[in-house]
This record gives sequence, C-alpha cells and structure tokens, in this order.
Amino acid sequence: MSYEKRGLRPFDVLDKTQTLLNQLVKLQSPPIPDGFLPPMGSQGLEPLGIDSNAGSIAGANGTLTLDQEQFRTNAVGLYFGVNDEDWRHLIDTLDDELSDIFGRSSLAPVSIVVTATNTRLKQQVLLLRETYGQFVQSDSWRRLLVPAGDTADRARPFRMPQDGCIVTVQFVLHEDLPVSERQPGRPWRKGSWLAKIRIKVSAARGSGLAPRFLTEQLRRRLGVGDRSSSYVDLRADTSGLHLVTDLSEVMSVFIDEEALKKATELKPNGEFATPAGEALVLRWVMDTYRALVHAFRFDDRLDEFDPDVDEHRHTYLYGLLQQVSEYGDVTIDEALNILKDQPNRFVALIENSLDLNGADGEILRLRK
Amino acid sequence: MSFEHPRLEPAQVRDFIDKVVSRGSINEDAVRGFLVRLGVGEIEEAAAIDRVVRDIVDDCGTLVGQALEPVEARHCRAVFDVLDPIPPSALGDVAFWSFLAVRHFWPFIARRQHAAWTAVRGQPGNPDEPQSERQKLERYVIGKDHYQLPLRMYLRAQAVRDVDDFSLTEIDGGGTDFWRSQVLGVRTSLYPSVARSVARAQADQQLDIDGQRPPGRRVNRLRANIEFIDYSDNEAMSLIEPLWLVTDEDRAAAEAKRKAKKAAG
Repeated sequence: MSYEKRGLRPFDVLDKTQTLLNQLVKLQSPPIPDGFLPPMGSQGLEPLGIDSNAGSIAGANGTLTLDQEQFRTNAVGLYFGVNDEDWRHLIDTLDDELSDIFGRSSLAPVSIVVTATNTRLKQQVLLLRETYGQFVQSDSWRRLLVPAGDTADRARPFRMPQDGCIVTVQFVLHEDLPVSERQPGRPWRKGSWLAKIRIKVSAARGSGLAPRFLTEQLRRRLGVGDRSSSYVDLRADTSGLHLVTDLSEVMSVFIDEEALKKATELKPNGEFATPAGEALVLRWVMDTYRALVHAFRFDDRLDEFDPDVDEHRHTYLYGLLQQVSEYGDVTIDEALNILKDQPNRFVALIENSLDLNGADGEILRLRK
Repeated sequence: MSFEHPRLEPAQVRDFIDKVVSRGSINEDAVRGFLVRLGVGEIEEAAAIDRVVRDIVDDCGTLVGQALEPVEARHCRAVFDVLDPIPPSALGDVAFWSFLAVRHFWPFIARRQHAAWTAVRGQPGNPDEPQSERQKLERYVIGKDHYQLPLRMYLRAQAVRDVDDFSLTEIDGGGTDFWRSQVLGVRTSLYPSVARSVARAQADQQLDIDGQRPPGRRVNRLRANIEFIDYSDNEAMSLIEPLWLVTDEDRAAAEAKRKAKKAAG
C-alpha cells in the first residue's frame, strides 16, 4: 500500500488493553512512597500515600498539575493500576490480545515506550522502554519515570515548567515483523502503535476565554463606538487558526462593564439572578462562537486539518468538532465538512450542543 | 512567582508594537528604554546574540520580505548555536522568546516581516487590511509558535540537524511555507530522522507549495499510525520517499477542485 488509509486504524490493535490503559494508568508526582500499599479497589484521583496538597495524580487524557518548583524538582511515577490485581489483569489482557493478533504473544516484537514531549519546542525524550518480555516479567506495577532533582540530566521537558509537557504511554512494534509472519490486518511496520494514552503535565494556570470589560478607553482603542455592547477581537491572522489550542492566545471578548456585571449576578443557589441576564450571557456566548466559526472558515489552511492526525486532536477546533458531533448525530469528519460548507448550520449545531432551545424555553417560561 | 530569566507577556509585546514600533524611528536606545521602563533585564548571552543578529542584518543588504528566505535559511544554525545553551527553563517559556524577539531580533524582524512591520508604522502593504498585517506582526514577535522569527529559525535547525551538519536548513523548500506547513507546524519536526527525510525528498523533487500539500497529507496520515522515535534516517527515508511526489491522483484531484471552484464562481 502506498500510504496508510484514513479513519479506522489500518491494522488490528489492542482494544481491550487500550480500555485498561484508559482506566488503570496513573501518573503521580511525587511517586507513591516505597512500602505504601494503596487500599484494594482504590481508583480515586487523590495522590496515593502523600499529602494531596503536596502532589498530584492524573490518568489518561488528564492533567498532572504541579507548581513551578515541583515541576522542576519532583520525581514522577507511572502506575499500571494501583495493586497487583490490576497489574495481572493488564498483563493477562495484553498477553491474550497479542496472541490473537500475532499467533503467540512471545512472537510479537512489541515494547512499551514512554516519552515526554514539549510540543511548542518540538522536543521529545524517552523516559522508559521495556520489551514485552521485560514488561510482563516485572513483578511491580510501579515505574519511576523521572527521578527527583533539578539537575542537568533531568529529562529536558521536565525542566520547562512554563510550557509543561505531555507524557505518552504506548505499546509499539519495535521492529518490522518478518515478512513470513505478515498477514492482512496484522500490524507489521516498526513503530506501529497498538494502544496509547497521553497525560498532560502542567505547571501553568489555565487561561480560559474569560470576558474582559469594554471600558471607555478600550472602546476608543478598538474603535467600536460608544453604543456597542460587546466585541470579539481576533488578534491573530486566521491562517493556521485550526492549530490553536488555547483560544485566549488569539481571541479576546470585551463586554460592556456595567452590563457584564449586572448580567452575571447570581442567586445564592447559583442560578442567574434575572432571565434577562441569562439571555444576555447566552447571546454573548453565541456571538463568540459565531465569530470563531467564521474565522475558522477564513483559515486558508483549514484543508490541512485532519481529525485523524494526533497533533490536531489537542486543538480547540477538534474539541469543538467533538462537541458538535456528540450532540448533533454527525461524525467528526461530517462536522468538519459542515463547518467548511454550511457555517450557519454549524452554528446551529453548536446551539444544539448547548441546548439553547431549552434555555430559551426556561427564560420565556415555555413548557417544553 | 519569580523568574531567573527576562520575559515579556503578550500585552507587553503589544505595548512594544504600539509605543515603539509604530512611532517610526525605532532604534537600539528606544528598545532598551522600553525594556528598562518595564524593569526587564539582560541575559548573559546578550552580546553573542547581538553579534549573530548583526551578521544576519548585514547579510540582508537592501532586500526585505520573502526575498530574505535564503538569508533566514543561512543563519538558522547560528541562531540555534547561540540559543540552545540557554537554560531549558528559559527556552521553555513563551515569554522569554518574546523578550528575545523584542530585545535582540527586532532588526531582522523589521526586514524579514517588512509588510507587517511597515503596516504598524502606518504604511500598510494592503491598505484594505492594515489591521490584519498588524496582527501578523504580533505573531512574528510573540514566541508562542513556529511563526515567531527567532523560534522558527531555532526549530528549523533543530529539526534537520545531523550532529554538526545543518546543511538541510538551506534546501529549497519553494518558500517559507514548506517549513511552516510540512515540517515545523506538524509533528514531523519532533522526529529529526523524519524531518531530514522530508527535507531531502523535497530537495530532490522540488515541489511547489501546491504540489507539497498532497504528499504532506500522506506523511501526516502515515505519522498518525507510527511512533518514529527509533527510526534511523534510512528507515525514515524508505517510508517518506515514495510519498513525497505528485501522483496522477493528486493531479486529477487538484484539477477537479479547480473546476469546482470555477463552477462555484
């Protein structure tokens, strides 16, 4: 085949092992102290064996949140479950699935590879590599990924707290399968990954798209007049907008100071103080989405966005497509096509995902 | 939180653009004065970085804009060599790169990104879109991604260096877009053996920007299924070479797209 097909993986993969990685694998810093045994069945996201204020734990697609100092000095541990039972379950499942795919698990040239990546600086380092044999022969579900200490030999992405990093845990083929062993659907190419999870490690505070006050001075600077109520300012060139991960880097939402304060007043139970306040907030939210959808449409490189490509899955656009797809009964690829060809329908699908019809009904006291 | 390195937040870069660049008569003193007022200090490597930037600017001659792509290419190695020894805690901080651009690299940014630079000074290249060119300048100065000038030079060298051989930084990519879209903007640049293979294949095939897109998509799809961390140059090249060419299918698809666009008016 001249190139890999798009969409579904082009070969058999470790589906059950993938499910277990999603459920069991945890990254914790500082690691579980030696000798500490978590209680059976504990799968909570509280750091194990340490003060929860002094460390963090995260699973697949989660974020290990540390402060700057901890990021640069703490040891980091990786766990395949939190007890021997989890560990046996994982390696038995792995053994079964590799046998299904390769005939015998011992014939599978498979390794577990754990890396840390700084995506902005395009730097990746290997933290752990074990062949399948080494992995299953270990009698421990614990691995030390990063030793403690801010030293020159500390894994480089763990010396960059401002950027943070992504830890990837994956089972891959470490060499080509011999030609005689190749069969349709059986992965054979070196590097083919069969199951994978990612965990983000962050030392930066999140910066969402919190609205800013549209003050008199800003009205003048932005040139939006005295009587406007809000303004969505897209600061960056739209070219390549599909790659943005944090909207606040490229976009600001300004709302009249008095209106924003009044509209966001809440009752003690957390509901909006007035229906008008809720309606206005929904309007600002949709105005922002509308501006964003049209900005994506003007991204002259939008055709390069591929939902099947790993790095595109960390983008804001991918999250938006997922949101629309989940609630709108369309696939992610279809959602992308709707965004390109029918932007107003895409906006309607965003409304659908937010149940604006229901919200309108509540505001107008309609029976729905 | 105190930092051991100088940094500029995006709002401070915007201030620099508004208060220094837009005034028209930017010089070393104006830049330093701006940074002193913010309390932003110097770094040990300042003199060495200034020497590198001076060499680049000397090499520019009277050229500006896209014509300086070969100059950018020639000096990637020097930029990498002078910046890479800086502590990772600084290199891994967007705000440090913004500082580098404002404090040291502005003379080259002014030439290389000339349209955006002059737009900020009230001479938009495209009078209909002065604001968009102004926004572009932010992207060339704020260190958040591979658009920023010093960062993209550093990344380009890092992506294709082979120990001490940086010659692939100078291959003819058919324009900056090759590096931006096919190497630095995608995970290809995470794997030097793959990045070198793409650069070598491009040097061999000399595809133009449109011609690079279908092979680029094929490489991205291949990469979605493969972890390349252990690939040698030969192994990577054996995969990339057959993908990096324009096929009959690519030509047919481009023609169909062109016709559809024409039909849509």
